[in-house]
Amino acid sequence: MNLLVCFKIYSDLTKIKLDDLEISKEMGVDTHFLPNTINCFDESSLEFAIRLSEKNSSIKKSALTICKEAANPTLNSLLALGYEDVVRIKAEEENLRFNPENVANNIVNYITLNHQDIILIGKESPLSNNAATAQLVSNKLNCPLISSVIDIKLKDDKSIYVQVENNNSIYEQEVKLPCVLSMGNAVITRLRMPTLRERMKNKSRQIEDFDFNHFENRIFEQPYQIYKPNRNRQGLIYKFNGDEDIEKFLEYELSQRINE
Amino acid sequence: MEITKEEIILQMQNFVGNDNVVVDKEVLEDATHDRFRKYEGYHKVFTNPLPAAVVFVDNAEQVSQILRFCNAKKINVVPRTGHSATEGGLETIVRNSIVLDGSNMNKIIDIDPVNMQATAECGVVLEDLEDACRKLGFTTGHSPQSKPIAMMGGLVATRSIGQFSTLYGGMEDMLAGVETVFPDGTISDIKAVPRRSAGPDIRHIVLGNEGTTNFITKVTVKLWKYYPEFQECLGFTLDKMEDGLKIMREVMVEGYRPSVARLYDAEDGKEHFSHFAAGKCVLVFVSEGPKLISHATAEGIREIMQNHPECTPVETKLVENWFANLNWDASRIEEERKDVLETDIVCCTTEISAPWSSVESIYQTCVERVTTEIPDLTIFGGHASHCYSNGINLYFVYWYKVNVDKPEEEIDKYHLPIKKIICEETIAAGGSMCHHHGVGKHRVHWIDKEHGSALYMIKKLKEAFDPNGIMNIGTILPYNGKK
Repeated sequence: MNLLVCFKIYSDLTKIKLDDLEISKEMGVDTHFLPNTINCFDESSLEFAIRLSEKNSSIKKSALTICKEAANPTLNSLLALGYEDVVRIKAEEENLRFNPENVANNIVNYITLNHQDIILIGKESPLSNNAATAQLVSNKLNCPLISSVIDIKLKDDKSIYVQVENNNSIYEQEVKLPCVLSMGNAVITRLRMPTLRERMKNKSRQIEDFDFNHFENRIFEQPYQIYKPNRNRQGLIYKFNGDEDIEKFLEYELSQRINE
Repeated sequence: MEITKEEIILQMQNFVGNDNVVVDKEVLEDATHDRFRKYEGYHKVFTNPLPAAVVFVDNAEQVSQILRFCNAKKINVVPRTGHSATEGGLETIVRNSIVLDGSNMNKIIDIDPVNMQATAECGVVLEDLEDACRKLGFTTGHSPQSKPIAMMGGLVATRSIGQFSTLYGGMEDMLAGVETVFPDGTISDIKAVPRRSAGPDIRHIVLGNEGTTNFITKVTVKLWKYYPEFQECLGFTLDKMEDGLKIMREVMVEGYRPSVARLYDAEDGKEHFSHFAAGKCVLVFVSEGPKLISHATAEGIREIMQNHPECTPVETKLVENWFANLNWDASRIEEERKDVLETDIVCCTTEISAPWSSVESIYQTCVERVTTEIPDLTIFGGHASHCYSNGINLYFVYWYKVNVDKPEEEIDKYHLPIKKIICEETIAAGGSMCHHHGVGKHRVHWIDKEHGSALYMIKKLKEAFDPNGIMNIGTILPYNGKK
């Protein structure tokens, strides 16, 4: 059984200072100086794949990303963690922003040449989000898509059970393979780290390069305006204490606002 | 007859009021350990006996009353402020201890722009003091990673050091005066003066005592003018740690004093620099101070670096952004807790200092031995981050995937064996096993080798100021009595 995790490495926006928030010429945020991180939904998928393969040795797990050179440490870690294939499609960020069709077509190109039974794709991404890649891949491969998956269990070599979170309810369903799973707020959130010994053992293994093909963006508009939102908030410190002061607070603050 | 827990609590309530004596089980469990036993703590396993109470004090007089009582009744007292210790110094290893908490003493008493010093109670968070000083255009010069959590009392008690130490020094260079309370109830106020030669420098009885002889209540530190606009940041990548150490030495020996001088090996750097320096060592310098001095320092370092083709400059912004995200606050500790519980991967550290002549061999030997002898490591690396004219520190950082039946086995299987290798190799090579985290309760195993014939002085100090042995039992010196 072949399992492919499609994952995204992006600049960690939690590490940006407000002073460094600059709008780039391409209508994006300049992030070139930020460290990388794996999209949290994809991180779940990468760990799920390892756990599933630990339970069933017939699973061959692959990981694919469309990225720049800086992603290499993550890809090497995946090799050390026992991914049989780690595939890199080199591309510049501007080719991918708000262009899920481009991303989906490249994923499908790979899958067409390398058959997969389970394809895991994060349901959204913190940067240049479109929440459409999994849907497009499913559509192009003509295989079922299950959204907001939070857990996966193997049934046999033709089907799996998935848990899905939908409108605050969780249900389990059986899915025939092949299928595309769009990973949601999964029960597993962190990818393990390889040990030094695992890294040494897999040191000579190579990342596989797959050619990037450019597809015209036919679905999504590129951004035409971008600005820094003003989210300044004000706080007031009251030295009130006790019931009397609560009354004062109600009188002076809340009643005034209610009247407004 | 031994005093009961109930009697201790009652007496503490008499001293500080009921609200300031906390006996809630969760609080007591949390008070049994510090970050040394974080893995156990995250799993809600508590191997040390619960203290009788956590007692919050408001002033030096209360501390005096409590210590006098505990001294008379032979009750172990563990002094605490920010609870950010890493070496077990805050562990309560005997029954019915009192954790004496100074975090409510959180007033900034004075920022004196004429004499360039600031006085704060022991429970003032360093970041709060620093922010208050910066509003007036000053800095304490102290910036440990724990700045958002650590408090002034603990910072003095552990003789802490910060990221700008190469210019401003460690706490021993910053401390001007200090008020402290001894077990017999004596309150001693060491006055803040520029310098004096009136006998031994008694600040050093307080500095680094780790709560084993006194409880610090008030601290006066020196101030400097703060010139963030003149800071210059330089970053370089290189292949070999030994080359970086030689450059650090050259910069220091030539007489330059950058505020920051840091060298990361490729392993430790993975966590910080993989987006621009994967597989490389990273060297960072920051110069600061008045415009001419800061610029001259940066220029001098640039001139030195021009003679080192093995180093490649990196864009300043990459380094600046990394540096801006270096500190640990409460939310980061919570993130760590979640990560540890989900992955069972723990990160711990041991920091040492070494003369220039042996630092390379200590680094190489420790890397070789630890990676060969210790199982389940995911990362073992280190950085040098505090430079002196006569040597440097090494801060070993190690991550391991815990594989034990019970959480309490983690320390004996991983953390202590790693620490043992690092401490023993360092001492054997002429360095010190503790650079700035203190001895705590888990480096006491090597305290005799650390001090050699000078251990006599440490023991005498303890006997003189704490003859009944009630202050933070098992810290700095080992405890072999009944637990």
